[in-house]
Amino acid sequence: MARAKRGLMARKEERAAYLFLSPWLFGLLAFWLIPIIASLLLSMTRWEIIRDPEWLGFENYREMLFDDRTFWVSIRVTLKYMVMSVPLYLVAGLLLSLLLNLKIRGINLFRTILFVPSVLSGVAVAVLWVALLNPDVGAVNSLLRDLGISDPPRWLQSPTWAVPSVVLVGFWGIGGGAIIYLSGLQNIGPQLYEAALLDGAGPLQRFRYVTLPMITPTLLFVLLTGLIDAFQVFDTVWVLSQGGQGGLGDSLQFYLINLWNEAFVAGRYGYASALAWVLVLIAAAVILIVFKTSGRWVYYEYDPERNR
Amino acid sequence: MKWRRVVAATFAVALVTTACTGGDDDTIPSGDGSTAAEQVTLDFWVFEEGGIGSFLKTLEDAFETEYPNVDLNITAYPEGNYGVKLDTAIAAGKAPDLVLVFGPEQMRAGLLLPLDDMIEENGIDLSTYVPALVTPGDEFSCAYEDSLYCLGSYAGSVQMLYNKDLFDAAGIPYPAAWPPMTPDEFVDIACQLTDEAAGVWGGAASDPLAYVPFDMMFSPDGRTTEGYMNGPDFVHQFEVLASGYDQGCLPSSNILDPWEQGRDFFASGQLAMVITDFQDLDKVDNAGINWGSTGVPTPEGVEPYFFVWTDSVGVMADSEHPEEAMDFIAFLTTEGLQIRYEVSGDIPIDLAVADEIDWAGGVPGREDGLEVLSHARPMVFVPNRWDVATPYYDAWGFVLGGEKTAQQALDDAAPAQQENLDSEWETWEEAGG
Amino acid sequence: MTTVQAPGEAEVTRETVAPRRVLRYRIRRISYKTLMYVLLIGLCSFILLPVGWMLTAALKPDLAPVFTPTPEWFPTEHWQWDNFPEVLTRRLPFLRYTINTMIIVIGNILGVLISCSVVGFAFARLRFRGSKVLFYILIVTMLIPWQALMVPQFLFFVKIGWYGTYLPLIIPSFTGSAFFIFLIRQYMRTIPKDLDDAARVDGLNTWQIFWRIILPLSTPVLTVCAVFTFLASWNNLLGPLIYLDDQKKFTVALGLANLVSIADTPWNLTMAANLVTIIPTVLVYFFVQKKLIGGIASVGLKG
Repeated sequence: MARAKRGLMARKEERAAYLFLSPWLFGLLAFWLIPIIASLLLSMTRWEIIRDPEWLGFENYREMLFDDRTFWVSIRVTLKYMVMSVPLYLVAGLLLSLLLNLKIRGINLFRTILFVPSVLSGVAVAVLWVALLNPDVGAVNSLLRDLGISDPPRWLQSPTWAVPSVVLVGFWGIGGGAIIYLSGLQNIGPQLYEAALLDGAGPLQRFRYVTLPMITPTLLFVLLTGLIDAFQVFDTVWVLSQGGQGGLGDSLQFYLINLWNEAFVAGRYGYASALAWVLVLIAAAVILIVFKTSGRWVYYEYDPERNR
Repeated sequence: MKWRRVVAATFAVALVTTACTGGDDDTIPSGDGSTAAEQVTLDFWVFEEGGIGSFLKTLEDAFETEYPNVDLNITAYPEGNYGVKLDTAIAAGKAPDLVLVFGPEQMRAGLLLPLDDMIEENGIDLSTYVPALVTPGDEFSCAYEDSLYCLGSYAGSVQMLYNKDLFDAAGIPYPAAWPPMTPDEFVDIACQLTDEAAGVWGGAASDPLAYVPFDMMFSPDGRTTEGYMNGPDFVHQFEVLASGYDQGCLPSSNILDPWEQGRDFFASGQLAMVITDFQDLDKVDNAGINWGSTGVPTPEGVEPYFFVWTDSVGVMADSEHPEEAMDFIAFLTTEGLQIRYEVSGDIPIDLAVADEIDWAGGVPGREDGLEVLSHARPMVFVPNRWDVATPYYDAWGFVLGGEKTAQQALDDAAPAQQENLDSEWETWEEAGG
Repeated sequence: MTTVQAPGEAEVTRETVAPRRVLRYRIRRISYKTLMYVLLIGLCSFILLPVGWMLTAALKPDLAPVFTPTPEWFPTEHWQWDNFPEVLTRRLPFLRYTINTMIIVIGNILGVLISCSVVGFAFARLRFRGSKVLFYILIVTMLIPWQALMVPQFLFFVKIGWYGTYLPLIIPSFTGSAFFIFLIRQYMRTIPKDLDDAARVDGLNTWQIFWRIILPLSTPVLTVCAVFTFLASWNNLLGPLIYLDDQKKFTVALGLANLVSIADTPWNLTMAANLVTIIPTVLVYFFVQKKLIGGIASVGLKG
């Protein structure tokens, strides 16, 4: 009897689930399915947008892997950026959110101020920082020279400092990520902290044994979206490299910059589509690995799959 | 240079040619339908700083006054995205009637209408136009394979302005308007004229290609760059300009961009010579500078080259109102010249008109400028020129930063540039007509 | 009762402690607090100095050099406030652009809040066949660069007649956005199961659990979604660019891009324009951020 009831309930839940999902499913079919198929097909053509496409089969992919030096350069640059930015933003955002979660006077003001950079568009931020990071007359290097550093880095114009410059610009906007963590901190019940206190836990231990585990769902989110963002960085870098120029020695040749140039400057939209799908493949592989291993370190209060 | 960014923005639209009845340019205003003229809307997509500039507004008003049945609808898009907007619109069949044209890709694809009939019927005399703009050659020209696909109202060019007073003070004779001096002389004079105490730089040039003919990097057929760009002549150009920078005679591009700020700094007397766009000269005149102009420095034995351009407007092949669109282009390149001159002081594309209206107005520098302009020549055609040349820019960056010698840098860059070149030619040929 | 001494801890409430330890505790507490303030002020400077630079540049007249030997972090010499109205009204019709943008923005916020909360809830707390597969599909859609889908989607919307309207810019948000669905899913999974169980015992159905229990507890994450949606639509350039062709319908982002179009980047005006766009969003954020605090931590479990 109980079993039948559970079965009935399960089916009811499932029906409700699909109802809840319906807007998204509808959107997938209406707005995504056809463009995705079209894009896949386009990746196997030569298409200049203003002319008719011409079928190429897998030629674009072959060219990409064996004939395109820039493709491999762009992977290297993007990976370098990912390795530098993701851990930094992950940790910094978390620490900042803890700071912003303090119940001290004026915290609202601090939160607002730290959020200001996120308000500007990626383009506006980049325009500002191109000026600030001007190696000869920019404010940053002027400041560094005042502090006694006679030969400050040439930032965007230096092959070694180009990617770190991009990371720095992104770091200026760290407040945006912090508020995501902030929302995640809201469901950590105070009774957990009290229990920890009773057990004699200091702040570091409370962080390690209460805050950190409880915030792992948010951590997973930030990690995944951080990785995806690193793969897809575009707007900011476009302006920082003065219109997708690629930087000195290809030091700013990010994957999507190359893709955009192929699509709209070289007029090879078919090839660019192929580049896009290769990126999806690579990213999907990375994401999959993260997901598979996430079961071990992410803690959900409620995980319907485990039927907790 | 503005147009360099524009080239990255891409295509423009085709031409529409269907001249009016009997080539009668002075339209009888068909106020009450003496010629059955329905209300027609022409869509014209442009990019301009800060929205639609005053030239276009004045032009629009004047044109609509003369053609009351036509409503000219000008929409401005951001320069950097103009190409994207146009491409997508063409793909969707929503292209406008009139467009700004850059490069032969669209002419090739048959998206623009040839203007030849319209020109003939309107009696437009192209022989007095700046030749490089109306004869086939490179992508700045409106001509492609014997037909003309666009026209404009003014002629912009790259020239070198120089401050006569500073030359006098140093006892250096003025350079002739033509032929231009050599780059070695340029750097030499720049170093003589630099006065750190007074905050004056002797000269400003962004990079060798600002004045060295692009041809020097390529074979005459435009297919080979290896061996040319790292050959002794071109390497020497790098070394010459780099030494100018090293000696502090020229300000780095980070401090001063000759293209964007050249005229401003020149007008404030901080530059003795500057290679920049030959436009916005009122600024210089009004600042009371005693100036002259000459062609850009050119190595000996090489035919001087400098970039010229115009506001090339063309008509899209799919336009529903080709006749009216053609009327607009005819208007642009006749009455429009006058308006352009009045509003922004630019040189009319028709040099005969420039004489007529006395564009030079007795200012020696302007007379120099006109003389220089008459020597404009086309250069070797290279598809997607600026992308191909990216390794060149890298090489220049390394030389400026002192990380490589000129020969090293160019040797390193040559293979990559050759690769780019080969790939672009392949794309160009595959897309062939 | 054991005395708990947390070094420099600000949250400890009551203990019985010896008087001497009280003093040491108080000192630790103050230095801890000071440290926090120092950190916060330091970070804020890092944020605000560039903004101050922007303001300085925005107030400069046309010919004043923007790049000075010593960096100017705050305006000292030039106070050309006229740059602001110049940018806002005389160059481009920014008032109309703002109204246009608000239509799109509000539409998007509604769409996202409505659709992503329901879809996120399903992924977060419901069991159904195919949940894993569908979730992976959700993530994969985030991986596809918009540059690749842009043209096919554009052609699709043209085909169904939505070109030149705001529809392609608003309607899709009503079908969910993977980023926010994912975020909401993670958030909702941190709400304890006991609430659901109690509710079911009380005879509530799935919708009521969602509407009456989970959703109210989700104000923090929904606030985050609303704010980010606001920003994304406000700053969106490519969308309005390719779908609109009537200048009267343009948005603020498009207008700004037109302003900096050409070679002569008018630094002062550009910075002025960017500063102006900061203000409304910051105001919105300042007033809305109260809602960031919510959830279980504030409400507590019942019963």
